[in-house]
Amino acid sequence: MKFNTIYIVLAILLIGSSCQDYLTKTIEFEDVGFEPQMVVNFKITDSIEVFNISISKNVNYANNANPEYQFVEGAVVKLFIDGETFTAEEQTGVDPTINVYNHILTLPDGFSLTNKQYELEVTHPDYPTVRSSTYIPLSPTIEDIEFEKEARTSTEFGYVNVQDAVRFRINDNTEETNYYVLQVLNNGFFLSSEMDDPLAEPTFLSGFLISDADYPVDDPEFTIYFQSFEDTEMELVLQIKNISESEYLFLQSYEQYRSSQNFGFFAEPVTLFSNIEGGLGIFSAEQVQEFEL
Amino acid sequence: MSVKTYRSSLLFFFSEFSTYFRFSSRYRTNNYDMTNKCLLSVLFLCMVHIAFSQEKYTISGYITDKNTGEGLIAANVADLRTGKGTVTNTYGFYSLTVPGDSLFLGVSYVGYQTQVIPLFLREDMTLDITMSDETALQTVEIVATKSEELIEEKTQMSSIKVPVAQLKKLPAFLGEVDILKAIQLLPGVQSGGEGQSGFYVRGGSQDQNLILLDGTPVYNASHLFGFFSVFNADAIKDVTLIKGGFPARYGGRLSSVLDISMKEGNMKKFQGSGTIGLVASKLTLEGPIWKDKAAFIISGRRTYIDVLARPLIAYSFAQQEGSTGTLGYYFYDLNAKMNWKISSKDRIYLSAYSGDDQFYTRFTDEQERGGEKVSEGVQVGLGWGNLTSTLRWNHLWTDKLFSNTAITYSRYRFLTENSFTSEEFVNDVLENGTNVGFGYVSGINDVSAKIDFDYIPVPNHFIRFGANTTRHVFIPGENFFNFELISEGEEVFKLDSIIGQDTTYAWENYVYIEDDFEITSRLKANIGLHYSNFLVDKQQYHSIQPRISLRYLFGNKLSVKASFATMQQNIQFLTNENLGLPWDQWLPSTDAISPQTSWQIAAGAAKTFKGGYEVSIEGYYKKMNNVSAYKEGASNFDGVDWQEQITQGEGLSYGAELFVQKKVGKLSGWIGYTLSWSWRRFDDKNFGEWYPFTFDRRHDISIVGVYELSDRWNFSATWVYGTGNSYTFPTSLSYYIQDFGFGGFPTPINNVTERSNYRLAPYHRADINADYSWGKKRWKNKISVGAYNAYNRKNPFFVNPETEFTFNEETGEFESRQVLRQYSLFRLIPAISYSFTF
Repeated sequence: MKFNTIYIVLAILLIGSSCQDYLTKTIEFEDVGFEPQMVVNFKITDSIEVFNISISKNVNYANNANPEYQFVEGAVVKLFIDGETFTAEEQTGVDPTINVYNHILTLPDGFSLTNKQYELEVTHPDYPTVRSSTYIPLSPTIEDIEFEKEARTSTEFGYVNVQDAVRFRINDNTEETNYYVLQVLNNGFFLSSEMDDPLAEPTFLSGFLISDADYPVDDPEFTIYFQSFEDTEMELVLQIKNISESEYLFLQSYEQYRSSQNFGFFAEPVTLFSNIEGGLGIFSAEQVQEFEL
Repeated sequence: MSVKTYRSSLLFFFSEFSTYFRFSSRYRTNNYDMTNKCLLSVLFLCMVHIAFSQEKYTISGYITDKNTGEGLIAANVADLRTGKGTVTNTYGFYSLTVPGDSLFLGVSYVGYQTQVIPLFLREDMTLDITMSDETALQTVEIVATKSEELIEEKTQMSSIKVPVAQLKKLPAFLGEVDILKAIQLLPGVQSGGEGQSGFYVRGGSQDQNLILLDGTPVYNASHLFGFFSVFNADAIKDVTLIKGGFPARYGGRLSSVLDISMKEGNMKKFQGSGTIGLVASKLTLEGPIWKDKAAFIISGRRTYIDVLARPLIAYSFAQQEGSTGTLGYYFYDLNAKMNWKISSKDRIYLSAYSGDDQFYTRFTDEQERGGEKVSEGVQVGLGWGNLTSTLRWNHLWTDKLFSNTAITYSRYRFLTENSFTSEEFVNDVLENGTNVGFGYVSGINDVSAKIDFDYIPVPNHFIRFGANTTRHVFIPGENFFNFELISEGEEVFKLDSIIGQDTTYAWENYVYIEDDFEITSRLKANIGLHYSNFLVDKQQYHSIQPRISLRYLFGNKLSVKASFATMQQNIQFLTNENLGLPWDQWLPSTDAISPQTSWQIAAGAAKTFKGGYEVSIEGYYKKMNNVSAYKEGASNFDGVDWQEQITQGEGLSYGAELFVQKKVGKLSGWIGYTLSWSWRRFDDKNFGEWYPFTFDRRHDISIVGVYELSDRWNFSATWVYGTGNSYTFPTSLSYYIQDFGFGGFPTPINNVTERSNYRLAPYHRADINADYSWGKKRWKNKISVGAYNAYNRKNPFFVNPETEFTFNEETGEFESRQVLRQYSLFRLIPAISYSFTF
């Protein structure tokens, strides 16, 4: 199928290049509804106490050919956690080509982040104020973790492919819907892996997105397959991220967005999920559990 | 019994009864006793019986073209005394039951001489009628009556019978008369975009049109990515488009039925016609196999750019020593049909269509060094096409009951086969070699059996009923690979593999009944019921679809019409709205994908004015459910399971259409105007909000004119205007921080905050054509000269955001800005073609 794409593209290019001026004309971009807004990138995790926050701005698609990443200078970032207010410290003069964050939020030592509601407010005189909220659900219990060496073998194009597997159950013990990212890491790096479960959605980080609402039982079992290596230096870790709903919805739409970028004109446009009221971006939360295999 | 007949019977009864009573009174004035009372009662009952059972007889038969023997569809047959009449069915059959007496039977058909046939009817009779389209007076009496059922008299609304003869006189794209492009000139029907022959009806999607060729569905009606349709106008007899108020005999699609009938073949004499055009030529031959008993028609068309360019391409490849190759594209259509009148009651038809698009390239390069020869070859083949066939049996059970039984086959297939070969010979012995082959196939196969009955018990009722069963085979896409490695004269590796999605089998069945009946002389109705059943894997879908159309005729010959129709569509076409591709697929409803359904109401008025101007105005409101579309981010290039790529939602369209048509006279043509809105809503697109459909078109205008100056000269022109298609652009650019846990880096994001937030430029174009005809009766010639897009407008095909660089003399630097580049396909394209008939 990809070769067909090449033929079509070649045919279009052939037609287009031979009569470029005759068959094309330049049109001034009309306003398609641009509004200057702040763009927030902020993820809370319970494993750290110092957070990096990026407050940048969007630019008009119609008149910016190659926009650069631009911080919003002078934004005031406040985080409200169960009635307490924390203000992020702005890092002035940071170089956006090197640094991608311009605010740092430090929480007091020992401050517990689990099972709390977080609200964010970012203000700036030149932009609409943005607000958002997020929440980390209660941590699930991970049960029956079992690593199997050479769990399955397949032959593709004459090559034998041997895969190890890790099986486990996630028991959240609650009625609320949980969302997870399941990953296997090797020496801290994501390992390319597979799941046979049709409800597990692959993400760009070689992990799998799961919503436990899709499963009829409280403790669904999962199996992740990954390439088997005869490498004694390997340090395999099963990583289970318990993520907020906003993170789940964002990752879903971001995966669609990434996929659409491969097909350009032939792909359906994607409206990327955002939970930033009055702006763009994503404010999310996650809780990470890791298990050595 | 009609109201008129009933009334005349009562008058007859009362006049006879009063005569008798007067007679009785005169002679029995004083003896009016019980005996008389009994006698009177018996006589009264007898007279009532006589009056109400006035003997009726049925005239039935076929109406055919005098010169060709072809059945005429929807010819008008009427008893001129009472005005009661009927129309011929798709095969030219009619049946009219009228009281026995002397009568004048009027027979008329547009473009043909009207006939009035005097009859004395004392028994059922078979009367086959031939009609002539010649202008010379015939032996039958010619009177000035209406030439066909007037638009205001028809119960069916939202339907247009497109005169094929008129279509052939319209300007043609590259000299090719195109039925589907002509359909796009009708109100309520719009094209997808520049040059495309796909069409969209009343806000529906492309797959919501049922295209029937001799009753067999055609799944991909386009050649060359939609620039030409598969229908060769020389082989077509009749084209009818229905946009709403669907009669119960049709089903399976939500938005329209395009019913195309092929010619049957000339029963009288051998004849032929042909056209030599710039890109294609065609030839049609027809004639009797057995005069007045059996006939055939065969028609072929092929493009020949590849043939003309072959020497040039071969020369180009041969510039490199040892190289040969070819490259080309063509499409062809082949229509064939034969029919055989077995008896006065039985007739058999066998028709077939085959059409393919083929793109091919072959390249070989051979280099010799001493005893060694190295050969490399590339072969690429890309083809798609339809194959349909129909075996049909018409049988006349009684003079009031006609049946059509058919077995049909339809196949659409896309196939690409490619291979790369590298071989090394030593002393002509293959020493080393690699062969890599891969391809892809997808498609749909249908086998159907159906039976349709036409029952015409009395002129006031035209009852149709029937059943159909179809076996669908869906091939969602299979990739096949083979790889062969030869080293030192021995095969060291061989692989032959097929990877793909499972073939799906489905059954689709329906039964229907409808009655087109005259409730009063002013009120007529078509009421029907369509039941469909779809079985795929273990999932079964049922649907009962009521249909009703009403017509009320006012005294001034103005009629108002209204209709309501529900439809269900069990299969869908997975395609990209920006550009359809030949490997787009027809796919079934499954347990995860529900059938599409709709209901549509329409209301309007119609009237024929002096001079033969038919005017109709209609408003419609259509609600669609489970409309299928690609999910956000999905693409027809993405190889994942098709069910994962689909989302389902709602569709809504409403609007008004004005149609003014003149079918006969020196100047004929039509003006169509459509004001419409069309929307879509999906839970997982556009934040769940309604947005304008890509082909939402607020205004759509078509003006079509044909002027026959003389027997030699014919001029035609069309002008179309349409609001630009909607388009989705990002509104802003921002960055998302991808954080891998060890820092992050910004990834640019195009933020789409609303779908359909941009409109392409309006589409408008004028086409012109002039025909000059000459020759004698035995051999007639015609030269057609015309131009597509006569005023050379750059109509939008698509737009693409691009970066434009300009040099700023003040700063001495290049500056960039984002612009939209609009791409067009066809500017002014002149065309010339030569046609002949013999």
